[in-house]
Amino acid sequence: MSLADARPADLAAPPARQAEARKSRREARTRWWLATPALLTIAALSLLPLCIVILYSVLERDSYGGILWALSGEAWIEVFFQRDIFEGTLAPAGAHLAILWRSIRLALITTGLTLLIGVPTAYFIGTRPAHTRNLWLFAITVPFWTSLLIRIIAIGELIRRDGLVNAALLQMGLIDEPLQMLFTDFAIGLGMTYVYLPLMVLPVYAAVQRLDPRLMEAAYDLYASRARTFWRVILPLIRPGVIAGSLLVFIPSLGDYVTPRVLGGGSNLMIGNLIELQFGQGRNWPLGAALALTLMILIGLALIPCARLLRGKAAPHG
Amino acid sequence: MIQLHSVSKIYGAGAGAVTALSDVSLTIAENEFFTLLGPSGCGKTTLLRMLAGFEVPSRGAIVLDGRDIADLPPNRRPINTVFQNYALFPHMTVAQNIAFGLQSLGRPRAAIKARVAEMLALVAMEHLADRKIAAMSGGQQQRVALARALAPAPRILLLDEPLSALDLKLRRQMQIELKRLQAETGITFVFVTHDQEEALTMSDRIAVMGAGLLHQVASPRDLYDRPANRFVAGFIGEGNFLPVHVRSRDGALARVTIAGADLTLPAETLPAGEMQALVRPERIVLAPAGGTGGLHLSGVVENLVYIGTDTHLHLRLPDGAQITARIGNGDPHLQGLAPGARAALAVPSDALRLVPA
Repeated sequence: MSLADARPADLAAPPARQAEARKSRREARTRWWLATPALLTIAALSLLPLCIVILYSVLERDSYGGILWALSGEAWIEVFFQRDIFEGTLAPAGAHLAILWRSIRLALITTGLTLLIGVPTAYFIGTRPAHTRNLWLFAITVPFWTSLLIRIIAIGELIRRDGLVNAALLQMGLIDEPLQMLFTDFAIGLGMTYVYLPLMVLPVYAAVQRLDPRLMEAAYDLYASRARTFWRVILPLIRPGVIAGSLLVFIPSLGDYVTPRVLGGGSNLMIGNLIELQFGQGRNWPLGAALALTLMILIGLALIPCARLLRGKAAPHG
Repeated sequence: MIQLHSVSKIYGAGAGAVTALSDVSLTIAENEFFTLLGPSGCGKTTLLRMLAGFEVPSRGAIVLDGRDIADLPPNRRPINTVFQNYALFPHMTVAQNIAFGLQSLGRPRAAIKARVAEMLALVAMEHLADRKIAAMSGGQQQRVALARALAPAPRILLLDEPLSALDLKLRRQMQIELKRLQAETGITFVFVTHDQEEALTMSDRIAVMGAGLLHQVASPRDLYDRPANRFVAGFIGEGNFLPVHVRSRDGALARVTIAGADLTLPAETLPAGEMQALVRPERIVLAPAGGTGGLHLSGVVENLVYIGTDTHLHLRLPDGAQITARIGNGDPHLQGLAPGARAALAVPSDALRLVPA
């Protein structure tokens, strides 16, 4: 209700109620002050840089880095096309598209794997007795105690040609010569799945915890198999948690920079690395800005169906 | 017909073991409205969950149509449950909830549709078929839960205190409704409640349970008139319990003293061991002192409580015991009685019931 709506009612109301209305308006104003630091932080550190990035993406590049203050659509063309240096003709930018595709593919695979591992894990934890639950949750958070970089480097050490995994496989006679695992898409997928798994487990766990166990009993009582109970009762009810977890995994893995850098080597770039390259060695800030915005748009597109799923059917639950 | 043979349930092991159910044997007949009645923690819910398949007995057998089903999982028993808080699927419509069991059984689409319509009509909810569960009142959810559990036409329907969440008026209505549904469907109902009035109104037979033991299985009338022991007598209806002293037993007659009054009773009415006399308040009449036949007690009126059609008269007996009588307000002897006055009560011999203490 706006202030204008409130006024006529206040005039008709007895003085006590007018005072009360004034008080609640004053409280509403003071509450806004509570949010001010957060709003200022977002404005300064998120909205302002975003504006700069948008601006840079439509400016001309300076060959020595930085930008020239002249409007140009060249950066956006370069995201998808390659201009022939001599003839000026356009051809699809194969390298960029391959990197984009790899980013999307690996992010989807990572999301899929964390779902496959995370949902059963979350269900397991969520159905433990209350006193052991916290212990399991604690176990999930243990990896956060160690720096992300160290954990990723450790995975690299494990899957090196002469690493522990290859040694074990050779010892067991499963392979004749070491597998090339490090510096492949497999390595990136493995690393991201490992790093982002807790982000899937926690929201799904929260949803599982709210599940009424009697609903599972009711399904079981009504002749449903375990599989049918899962697909028709459990999954629809924990869907908000599953969608939240999927977004929490998909978004950062799509833009991941550290994991592909360490585990993918120099050749298996993801879009995060490509963007970094433009601001570094590439000295093409407008292209970097346009690529960053492309990533944002991709994430935005991924959010639309999720938002629809959440609004559509999950609303009556809880 | 379903039979329980010496069924026990023990949780835990060793010194910490808790016996939830101890050696329960009973037979529930076809088309019967059977009630498990007892205070909370008496084991009635454990027993119901064993019939449903959510718990496995530690010992004993559960036999349905000649087959021991004690180890069968719930989804392979022709038994459905109406859960205490209904446990309806919140993400489905009313019709989808009712269809769930039939779909699990893999019934053809057309048959499911017809059966759902039939069930909706049975509980008078045709117009709400496409409503979401969250938009339903407690009474409506109750009907959906019933329709959902009845849809697969189970051999036995289990009801776990299904009326406890409803207000009194709705509960009365649903009691009649449940009785009608049971008669119409011809399905055996096993009903769990701690509410004796509910049990007495609806049941063909009642099993009274306490602390994991089965005390008595009988019709409501027999439970009320001929309780097997003090526990049953105290749990079903209201009663006065008076001390009994057996003075002599010769042949067919026994001489006893009940609350200070001497009486001769047929010896066969006396149970073995310690006993008490049960007197229902409504079987006591106000009578002039010194009458013959039955038990005559006199004492000081402590309190008179008007309850509409009747008055509760609390009388203090000479030996200090208190007795409550329910006297019709039309009784002329009631006129002029006030707290502090002396009054005499009579209990007909057939209203005296001696029960093991």
